Amino acid sequence: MTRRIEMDSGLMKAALWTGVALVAAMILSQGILMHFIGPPSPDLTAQELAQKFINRTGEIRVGCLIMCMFWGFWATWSMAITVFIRKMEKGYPILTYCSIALNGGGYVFFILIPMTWAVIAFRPETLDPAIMQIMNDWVWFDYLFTWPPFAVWMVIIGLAILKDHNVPALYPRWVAYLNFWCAILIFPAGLIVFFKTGLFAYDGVGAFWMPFFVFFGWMVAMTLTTFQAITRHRRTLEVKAGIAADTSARAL
Amino acid sequence: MVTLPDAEVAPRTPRPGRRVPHVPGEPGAWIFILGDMCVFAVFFSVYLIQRGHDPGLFAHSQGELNRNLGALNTIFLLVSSLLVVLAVRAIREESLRHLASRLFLGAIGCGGCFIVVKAFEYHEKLAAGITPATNDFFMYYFVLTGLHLFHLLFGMAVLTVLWRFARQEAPLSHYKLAFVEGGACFWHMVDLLWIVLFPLLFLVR
Repeated sequence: MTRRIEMDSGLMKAALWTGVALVAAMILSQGILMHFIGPPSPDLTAQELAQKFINRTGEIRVGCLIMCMFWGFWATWSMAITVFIRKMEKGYPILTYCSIALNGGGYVFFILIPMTWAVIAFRPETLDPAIMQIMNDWVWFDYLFTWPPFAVWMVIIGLAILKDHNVPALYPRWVAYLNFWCAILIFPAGLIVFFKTGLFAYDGVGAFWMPFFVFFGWMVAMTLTTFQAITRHRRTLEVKAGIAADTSARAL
Repeated sequence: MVTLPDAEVAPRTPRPGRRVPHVPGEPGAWIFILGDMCVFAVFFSVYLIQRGHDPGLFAHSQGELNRNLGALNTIFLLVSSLLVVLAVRAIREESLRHLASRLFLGAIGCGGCFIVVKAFEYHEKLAAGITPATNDFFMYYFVLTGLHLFHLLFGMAVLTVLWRFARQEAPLSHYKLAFVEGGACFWHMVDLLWIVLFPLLFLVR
Protein backbone atom coordinates (compact mmCIF):
# COMPACT_ATOMS: atom_id res chain seq x y z
CA MET A 1 0.00 0.00 0.00
CA THR A 2 1.57 3.33 -1.02
CA ARG A 3 1.31 6.09 1.54
CA ARG A 4 0.54 9.52 0.05
CA ILE A 5 1.24 12.91 1.47
CA GLU A 6 -1.44 15.60 1.49
CA MET A 7 0.41 17.94 -0.89
CA ASP A 8 0.33 17.26 -4.62
CA SER A 9 3.72 18.78 -5.41
CA GLY A 10 3.22 18.12 -9.12
CA LEU A 11 0.19 20.40 -9.26
CA MET A 12 1.83 22.95 -6.97
CA LYS A 13 4.82 23.14 -9.28
CA ALA A 14 2.60 23.32 -12.35
CA ALA A 15 0.84 26.32 -10.80
CA LEU A 16 4.23 27.99 -10.33
CA TRP A 17 5.20 27.26 -13.92
CA THR A 18 2.11 29.14 -15.11
CA GLY A 19 3.70 32.25 -13.62
CA VAL A 20 6.87 31.62 -15.60
CA ALA A 21 4.70 31.29 -18.69
CA LEU A 22 3.04 34.59 -17.81
CA VAL A 23 6.37 36.42 -17.80
CA ALA A 24 7.56 34.70 -21.00
CA ALA A 25 4.30 35.56 -22.75
CA MET A 26 4.67 39.18 -21.67
CA ILE A 27 8.13 39.44 -23.19
CA LEU A 28 6.90 37.89 -26.42
CA SER A 29 3.59 39.70 -26.80
CA GLN A 30 3.97 43.06 -25.05
CA GLY A 31 7.63 43.42 -25.97
CA ILE A 32 8.48 41.74 -29.23
CA LEU A 33 5.11 41.91 -30.95
CA MET A 34 3.49 45.07 -29.65
CA HIS A 35 6.64 47.11 -28.86
CA PHE A 36 4.97 48.23 -25.64
CA ILE A 37 7.78 47.42 -23.21
CA GLY A 38 8.64 50.96 -22.81
CA PRO A 39 5.20 52.59 -22.99
CA PRO A 40 4.57 55.28 -25.62
CA SER A 41 5.07 58.70 -24.11
CA PRO A 42 1.99 60.28 -22.52
CA ASP A 43 3.20 63.46 -24.18
CA LEU A 44 2.42 62.19 -27.70
CA THR A 45 -0.45 63.80 -29.55
CA ALA A 46 -3.56 61.73 -30.12
CA GLN A 47 -2.70 61.46 -33.79
CA GLU A 48 0.85 60.22 -33.12
CA LEU A 49 -0.48 57.63 -30.71
CA ALA A 50 -3.19 56.47 -33.12
CA GLN A 51 -0.50 55.97 -35.74
CA LYS A 52 1.30 53.54 -33.46
CA PHE A 53 -1.78 51.33 -33.36
CA ILE A 54 -2.38 51.65 -37.09
CA ASN A 55 1.22 50.74 -37.92
CA ARG A 56 1.26 47.52 -35.89
CA THR A 57 -2.40 46.50 -35.93
CA GLY A 58 -1.74 42.85 -36.79
CA GLU A 59 1.03 42.41 -34.25
CA ILE A 60 -1.01 44.09 -31.54
CA ARG A 61 -4.04 41.89 -32.17
CA VAL A 62 -2.02 38.66 -32.03
CA GLY A 63 -0.01 39.90 -29.08
CA CYS A 64 -3.18 40.72 -27.18
CA LEU A 65 -4.63 37.27 -27.80
CA ILE A 66 -1.48 35.66 -26.41
CA MET A 67 -1.25 38.03 -23.49
CA CYS A 68 -4.91 37.54 -22.57
CA MET A 69 -4.43 33.78 -22.54
CA PHE A 70 -1.38 33.84 -20.31
CA TRP A 71 -2.09 36.74 -18.01
CA GLY A 72 -5.05 34.96 -16.44
CA PHE A 73 -2.36 32.69 -14.99
CA TRP A 74 -1.74 35.33 -12.36
CA ALA A 75 -4.60 33.60 -10.52
CA THR A 76 -3.03 30.14 -10.60
CA TRP A 77 0.50 31.30 -9.82
CA SER A 78 -0.61 33.37 -6.85
CA MET A 79 -2.63 30.48 -5.44
CA ALA A 80 0.44 28.26 -5.18
CA ILE A 81 1.89 30.84 -2.81
CA THR A 82 -1.50 31.22 -1.10
CA VAL A 83 -1.55 27.51 -0.27
CA PHE A 84 1.71 28.06 1.61
CA ILE A 85 0.33 31.16 3.31
CA ARG A 86 -2.41 28.85 4.58
CA LYS A 87 0.23 26.45 5.82
CA MET A 88 2.22 29.19 7.53
CA GLU A 89 -0.56 30.87 9.46
CA LYS A 90 -2.29 29.36 12.46
CA GLY A 91 -5.94 29.62 13.39
CA TYR A 92 -8.53 31.51 11.38
CA PRO A 93 -7.07 32.04 7.89
CA ILE A 94 -7.27 35.84 7.65
CA LEU A 95 -4.03 36.20 5.65
CA THR A 96 -5.09 33.39 3.33
CA TYR A 97 -8.49 34.92 2.67
CA CYS A 98 -6.92 38.34 2.06
CA SER A 99 -4.53 36.68 -0.37
CA ILE A 100 -7.35 34.99 -2.27
CA ALA A 101 -9.40 38.17 -2.42
CA LEU A 102 -6.49 40.35 -3.56
CA ASN A 103 -5.41 37.93 -6.28
CA GLY A 104 -8.92 37.10 -7.39
CA GLY A 105 -9.13 40.75 -8.32
CA GLY A 106 -5.54 40.98 -9.47
CA TYR A 107 -5.84 38.80 -12.55
CA VAL A 108 -8.81 40.88 -13.71
CA PHE A 109 -6.63 44.00 -13.83
CA PHE A 110 -4.07 41.93 -15.68
CA ILE A 111 -6.26 40.71 -18.51
CA LEU A 112 -8.06 44.03 -18.92
CA ILE A 113 -4.72 45.33 -20.23
CA PRO A 114 -4.51 43.21 -23.40
CA MET A 115 -8.28 43.31 -23.76
CA THR A 116 -8.31 47.09 -23.95
CA TRP A 117 -5.42 47.21 -26.40
CA ALA A 118 -7.27 44.69 -28.54
CA VAL A 119 -10.35 46.89 -28.54
CA ILE A 120 -8.24 49.89 -29.61
CA ALA A 121 -6.65 47.78 -32.35
CA PHE A 122 -10.07 46.54 -33.49
CA ARG A 123 -10.92 49.63 -35.61
CA PRO A 124 -7.85 51.84 -35.38
CA GLU A 125 -8.34 53.60 -38.72
CA THR A 126 -11.86 54.79 -38.00
CA LEU A 127 -11.76 55.26 -34.24
CA ASP A 128 -11.38 58.88 -33.09
CA PRO A 129 -7.71 59.37 -32.04
CA ALA A 130 -8.81 61.29 -28.95
CA ILE A 131 -10.76 58.24 -27.79
CA MET A 132 -7.81 55.98 -28.54
CA GLN A 133 -5.62 58.24 -26.45
CA ILE A 134 -7.94 58.01 -23.45
CA MET A 135 -8.14 54.23 -23.80
CA ASN A 136 -4.36 53.93 -24.10
CA ASP A 137 -3.87 56.14 -21.03
CA TRP A 138 -6.40 53.94 -19.25
CA VAL A 139 -4.39 50.82 -20.05
CA TRP A 140 -1.18 52.27 -18.63
CA PHE A 141 -2.98 53.41 -15.53
CA ASP A 142 -4.40 49.88 -15.22
CA TYR A 143 -0.85 48.57 -15.61
CA LEU A 144 0.82 50.91 -13.10
CA PHE A 145 -1.64 52.89 -11.01
CA THR A 146 -3.20 49.69 -9.66
CA TRP A 147 -0.04 48.80 -7.75
CA PRO A 148 -1.57 48.95 -4.20
CA PRO A 149 -3.33 45.56 -3.97
CA PHE A 150 -0.12 43.92 -5.14
CA ALA A 151 1.91 45.80 -2.54
CA VAL A 152 -0.59 44.78 0.13
CA TRP A 153 -0.22 41.16 -0.98
CA MET A 154 3.56 41.44 -0.74
CA VAL A 155 3.20 42.67 2.84
CA ILE A 156 0.84 39.77 3.58
CA ILE A 157 3.35 37.28 2.22
CA GLY A 158 6.03 38.87 4.39
CA LEU A 159 3.83 38.72 7.46
CA ALA A 160 2.96 35.09 6.85
CA ILE A 161 6.63 34.18 6.51
CA LEU A 162 7.61 35.98 9.71
CA LYS A 163 4.76 34.27 11.58
CA ASP A 164 5.50 30.84 10.11
CA HIS A 165 5.18 28.22 12.85
CA ASN A 166 6.40 25.27 10.78
CA VAL A 167 9.63 23.48 11.64
CA PRO A 168 11.54 23.74 9.37
CA ALA A 169 10.17 27.05 8.11
CA LEU A 170 8.72 27.01 4.62
CA TYR A 171 10.60 30.10 3.44
CA PRO A 172 13.88 31.65 4.62
CA ARG A 173 13.14 34.80 6.61
CA TRP A 174 14.92 37.15 4.20
CA VAL A 175 12.14 36.49 1.69
CA ALA A 176 9.77 38.29 4.06
CA TYR A 177 11.97 41.37 4.09
CA LEU A 178 12.36 41.21 0.32
CA ASN A 179 8.58 41.32 0.06
CA PHE A 180 8.35 44.34 2.37
CA TRP A 181 10.99 46.10 0.30
CA CYS A 182 9.33 45.37 -3.03
CA ALA A 183 6.02 46.63 -1.67
CA ILE A 184 7.69 49.99 -1.06
CA LEU A 185 9.63 49.97 -4.33
CA ILE A 186 6.56 49.77 -6.57
CA PHE A 187 5.00 52.84 -4.95
CA PRO A 188 6.39 55.29 -7.56
CA ALA A 189 4.06 53.71 -10.13
CA GLY A 190 1.37 55.74 -8.42
CA LEU A 191 2.98 59.02 -9.39
CA ILE A 192 2.03 58.74 -13.07
CA VAL A 193 -1.14 60.73 -12.48
CA PHE A 194 0.87 63.89 -11.87
CA PHE A 195 3.23 63.93 -14.84
CA LYS A 196 3.22 63.68 -18.63
CA THR A 197 6.98 63.91 -19.02
CA GLY A 198 10.03 63.07 -16.99
CA LEU A 199 11.01 60.42 -14.49
CA PHE A 200 7.53 59.80 -13.13
CA ALA A 201 5.44 59.90 -16.28
CA TYR A 202 4.11 56.47 -17.24
CA ASP A 203 7.02 55.98 -19.61
CA GLY A 204 9.58 57.25 -17.10
CA VAL A 205 12.40 55.42 -15.36
CA GLY A 206 11.01 56.06 -11.91
CA ALA A 207 7.37 55.21 -12.52
CA PHE A 208 7.62 52.50 -15.19
CA TRP A 209 11.04 50.89 -15.54
CA MET A 210 11.91 50.59 -11.86
CA PRO A 211 8.52 49.17 -10.74
CA PHE A 212 8.47 46.98 -13.87
CA PHE A 213 11.81 45.34 -13.10
CA VAL A 214 11.07 45.19 -9.38
CA PHE A 215 7.69 43.52 -9.93
CA PHE A 216 8.79 40.90 -12.42
CA GLY A 217 12.08 40.36 -10.59
CA TRP A 218 10.01 39.77 -7.45
CA MET A 219 7.88 37.25 -9.39
CA VAL A 220 11.06 35.39 -10.36
CA ALA A 221 12.37 35.43 -6.78
CA MET A 222 9.05 34.22 -5.37
CA THR A 223 8.84 31.48 -8.01
CA LEU A 224 12.33 30.20 -7.19
CA THR A 225 11.89 30.32 -3.41
CA THR A 226 8.46 28.69 -3.66
CA PHE A 227 9.88 25.84 -5.74
CA GLN A 228 12.41 25.35 -2.95
CA ALA A 229 9.65 25.55 -0.36
CA ILE A 230 7.71 22.81 -2.15
CA THR A 231 10.73 20.53 -2.15
CA ARG A 232 11.51 21.28 1.48
CA HIS A 233 7.92 20.85 2.65
CA ARG A 234 7.45 17.67 0.68
CA ARG A 235 10.39 16.12 2.51
CA THR A 236 8.91 17.23 5.83
CA LEU A 237 5.54 15.69 4.97
CA GLU A 238 7.15 12.47 3.81
CA VAL A 239 9.06 12.09 7.05
CA LYS A 240 5.88 12.81 8.98
CA ALA A 241 3.95 10.20 6.97
CA GLY A 242 6.72 7.72 7.54
CA ILE A 243 7.49 7.40 3.85
CA ALA A 244 11.03 8.79 4.03
CA ALA A 245 11.79 6.62 7.03
CA ASP A 246 10.59 3.58 5.11
CA THR A 247 12.83 4.45 2.17
CA SER A 248 15.91 4.77 4.35
CA ALA A 249 15.05 1.49 6.08
CA ARG A 250 14.81 -0.29 2.74
CA ALA A 251 18.14 1.15 1.67
CA LEU A 252 19.97 -0.43 4.58
CA MET B 1 0.06 35.01 19.90
CA VAL B 2 2.33 32.97 17.71
CA THR B 3 5.36 31.54 19.43
CA LEU B 4 8.21 30.73 17.11
CA PRO B 5 10.41 27.72 17.76
CA ASP B 6 13.36 28.90 19.80
CA ALA B 7 14.91 25.45 19.88
CA GLU B 8 16.49 26.02 16.49
CA VAL B 9 18.24 29.17 17.57
CA ALA B 10 20.23 29.21 20.79
CA PRO B 11 19.93 32.55 22.59
CA ARG B 12 23.30 33.97 23.43
CA THR B 13 23.98 34.34 27.13
CA PRO B 14 26.47 37.09 27.85
CA ARG B 15 29.35 36.62 30.26
CA PRO B 16 28.66 38.60 33.41
CA GLY B 17 29.47 42.24 32.79
CA ARG B 18 30.11 41.78 29.03
CA ARG B 19 27.63 42.50 26.24
CA VAL B 20 27.67 40.05 23.37
CA PRO B 21 28.50 41.95 20.20
CA HIS B 22 25.94 41.24 17.52
CA VAL B 23 24.41 42.80 14.46
CA PRO B 24 20.97 44.10 15.38
CA GLY B 25 18.02 42.59 13.57
CA GLU B 26 18.16 39.88 10.94
CA PRO B 27 20.13 39.62 7.68
CA GLY B 28 16.94 40.02 5.65
CA ALA B 29 16.15 43.30 7.36
CA TRP B 30 19.54 44.66 6.31
CA ILE B 31 19.01 43.65 2.69
CA PHE B 32 15.85 45.71 2.89
CA ILE B 33 17.33 48.72 4.69
CA LEU B 34 20.58 49.00 2.76
CA GLY B 35 18.86 48.29 -0.53
CA ASP B 36 16.32 51.01 0.13
CA MET B 37 19.08 53.44 1.03
CA CYS B 38 20.79 52.67 -2.27
CA VAL B 39 17.60 53.47 -4.16
CA PHE B 40 17.29 56.77 -2.33
CA ALA B 41 20.96 57.49 -3.01
CA VAL B 42 20.21 57.12 -6.71
CA PHE B 43 17.27 59.52 -6.44
CA PHE B 44 19.37 62.04 -4.52
CA SER B 45 22.12 61.82 -7.12
CA VAL B 46 19.66 62.37 -9.94
CA TYR B 47 18.34 65.42 -8.09
CA LEU B 48 21.83 66.84 -7.70
CA ILE B 49 22.66 66.27 -11.37
CA GLN B 50 19.41 67.92 -12.49
CA ARG B 51 20.11 70.81 -10.14
CA GLY B 52 23.47 71.26 -11.84
CA HIS B 53 21.69 71.73 -15.17
CA ASP B 54 19.52 74.60 -13.98
CA PRO B 55 20.93 76.07 -10.78
CA GLY B 56 19.06 79.35 -11.16
CA LEU B 57 15.61 77.77 -11.31
CA PHE B 58 16.37 75.40 -8.45
CA ALA B 59 17.75 78.14 -6.21
CA HIS B 60 14.81 80.42 -6.92
CA SER B 61 12.21 77.70 -6.33
CA GLN B 62 13.98 76.57 -3.20
CA GLY B 63 13.34 80.03 -1.79
CA GLU B 64 9.61 79.24 -1.74
CA LEU B 65 10.07 76.37 0.69
CA ASN B 66 9.25 76.81 4.34
CA ARG B 67 12.50 76.10 6.17
CA ASN B 68 10.98 76.46 9.60
CA LEU B 69 8.54 73.65 8.99
CA GLY B 70 11.35 71.53 7.58
CA ALA B 71 13.48 72.17 10.65
CA LEU B 72 10.55 71.39 12.93
CA ASN B 73 10.08 68.08 11.18
CA THR B 74 13.77 67.33 11.61
CA ILE B 75 13.45 67.83 15.36
CA PHE B 76 10.37 65.59 15.52
CA LEU B 77 12.21 62.75 13.78
CA LEU B 78 15.37 63.11 15.85
CA VAL B 79 13.35 62.98 19.06
CA SER B 80 11.41 59.97 17.78
CA SER B 81 14.64 58.15 16.96
CA LEU B 82 15.94 58.86 20.46
CA LEU B 83 12.75 57.46 21.95
CA VAL B 84 13.10 54.33 19.79
CA VAL B 85 16.70 53.81 20.95
CA LEU B 86 15.58 54.08 24.56
CA ALA B 87 12.61 51.79 23.91
CA VAL B 88 14.78 49.04 22.41
CA ARG B 89 17.15 49.29 25.34
CA ALA B 90 14.22 49.13 27.75
CA ILE B 91 12.65 46.14 26.06
CA ARG B 92 15.80 44.12 26.66
CA GLU B 93 16.10 44.89 30.39
CA GLU B 94 13.54 43.07 32.57
CA SER B 95 13.40 45.95 35.03
CA LEU B 96 12.69 48.56 32.36
CA ARG B 97 10.35 46.62 30.04
CA HIS B 98 7.26 48.48 31.21
CA LEU B 99 8.69 51.70 29.83
CA ALA B 100 9.25 50.33 26.34
CA SER B 101 5.64 50.50 25.21
CA ARG B 102 5.28 54.12 26.30
CA LEU B 103 8.52 55.06 24.58
CA PHE B 104 7.34 53.45 21.34
CA LEU B 105 4.05 55.31 21.69
CA GLY B 106 5.99 58.53 22.05
CA ALA B 107 7.90 57.79 18.87
CA ILE B 108 4.64 57.09 17.04
CA GLY B 109 3.35 60.41 18.36
CA CYS B 110 6.36 62.22 16.96
CA GLY B 111 5.76 60.53 13.63
CA GLY B 112 2.19 61.74 13.76
CA CYS B 113 3.37 65.29 14.38
CA PHE B 114 5.65 65.01 11.36
CA ILE B 115 2.68 64.01 9.22
CA VAL B 116 0.59 66.94 10.45
CA VAL B 117 3.37 69.41 9.72
CA LYS B 118 3.93 67.82 6.31
CA ALA B 119 0.23 68.10 5.49
CA PHE B 120 0.35 71.76 6.44
CA GLU B 121 3.44 72.27 4.32
CA TYR B 122 1.90 70.61 1.27
CA HIS B 123 -1.32 72.56 1.76
CA GLU B 124 0.68 75.78 1.84
CA LYS B 125 2.25 74.93 -1.52
CA LEU B 126 -0.91 73.75 -3.20
CA ALA B 127 -2.86 76.78 -2.00
CA ALA B 128 -0.19 78.97 -3.62
CA GLY B 129 -0.73 77.12 -6.89
CA ILE B 130 2.50 75.11 -6.69
CA THR B 131 2.11 71.50 -7.82
CA PRO B 132 4.47 68.66 -8.81
CA ALA B 133 4.04 69.78 -12.41
CA THR B 134 5.01 73.42 -11.76
CA ASN B 135 8.67 72.91 -12.59
CA ASP B 136 11.47 70.39 -12.24
CA PHE B 137 12.48 71.50 -8.75
CA PHE B 138 8.98 71.09 -7.42
CA MET B 139 8.65 67.71 -9.12
CA TYR B 140 11.65 66.54 -7.11
CA TYR B 141 10.42 68.27 -3.98
CA PHE B 142 7.00 66.60 -4.02
CA VAL B 143 8.25 63.21 -5.21
CA LEU B 144 11.19 62.94 -2.81
CA THR B 145 9.25 64.17 0.22
CA GLY B 146 6.29 62.04 -0.86
CA LEU B 147 8.43 58.91 -1.12
CA HIS B 148 9.90 59.71 2.27
CA LEU B 149 6.43 60.20 3.72
CA PHE B 150 5.39 56.81 2.36
CA HIS B 151 8.37 55.25 4.12
CA LEU B 152 7.41 57.09 7.28
CA LEU B 153 3.88 55.68 7.15
CA PHE B 154 5.31 52.20 6.68
CA GLY B 155 7.64 52.89 9.59
CA MET B 156 4.73 53.95 11.79
CA ALA B 157 3.01 50.65 11.04
CA VAL B 158 6.22 48.86 12.08
CA LEU B 159 6.44 50.95 15.27
CA THR B 160 2.85 50.01 16.05
CA VAL B 161 3.80 46.33 15.83
CA LEU B 162 6.78 47.01 18.12
CA TRP B 163 4.47 48.79 20.56
CA ARG B 164 2.22 45.70 20.57
CA PHE B 165 5.24 43.46 21.21
CA ALA B 166 6.36 45.70 24.06
CA ARG B 167 2.99 45.32 25.74
CA GLN B 168 2.96 41.54 25.89
CA GLU B 169 3.45 39.94 29.28
CA ALA B 170 5.79 37.12 28.31
CA PRO B 171 9.41 37.81 27.46
CA LEU B 172 9.98 38.18 23.73
CA SER B 173 11.18 35.24 21.68
CA HIS B 174 14.46 35.45 19.83
CA TYR B 175 12.73 36.18 16.52
CA LYS B 176 10.50 38.86 17.96
CA LEU B 177 13.48 40.61 19.53
CA ALA B 178 15.27 40.46 16.19
CA PHE B 179 12.21 41.99 14.56
CA VAL B 180 12.15 44.75 17.18
CA GLU B 181 15.77 45.59 16.44
CA GLY B 182 15.23 45.41 12.69
CA GLY B 183 12.10 47.53 12.92
CA ALA B 184 13.93 50.11 15.03
CA CYS B 185 16.71 50.21 12.44
CA PHE B 186 14.12 50.81 9.73
CA TRP B 187 12.80 53.78 11.69
CA HIS B 188 16.33 55.11 12.09
CA MET B 189 16.71 54.81 8.32
CA VAL B 190 13.58 56.92 7.84
CA ASP B 191 15.13 59.52 10.14
CA LEU B 192 18.46 59.35 8.34
CA LEU B 193 16.79 59.83 4.96
CA TRP B 194 15.11 62.98 6.20
CA ILE B 195 18.39 64.29 7.63
CA VAL B 196 19.87 64.03 4.13
CA LEU B 197 16.70 65.16 2.36
CA PHE B 198 16.15 68.33 4.41
CA PRO B 199 19.47 70.02 3.64
CA LEU B 200 19.43 68.70 0.07
CA LEU B 201 16.06 70.21 -0.81
CA PHE B 202 15.73 73.07 1.64
CA LEU B 203 19.21 74.36 2.32
CA VAL B 204 21.88 73.50 -0.24
CA ARG B 205 22.38 76.32 -2.74
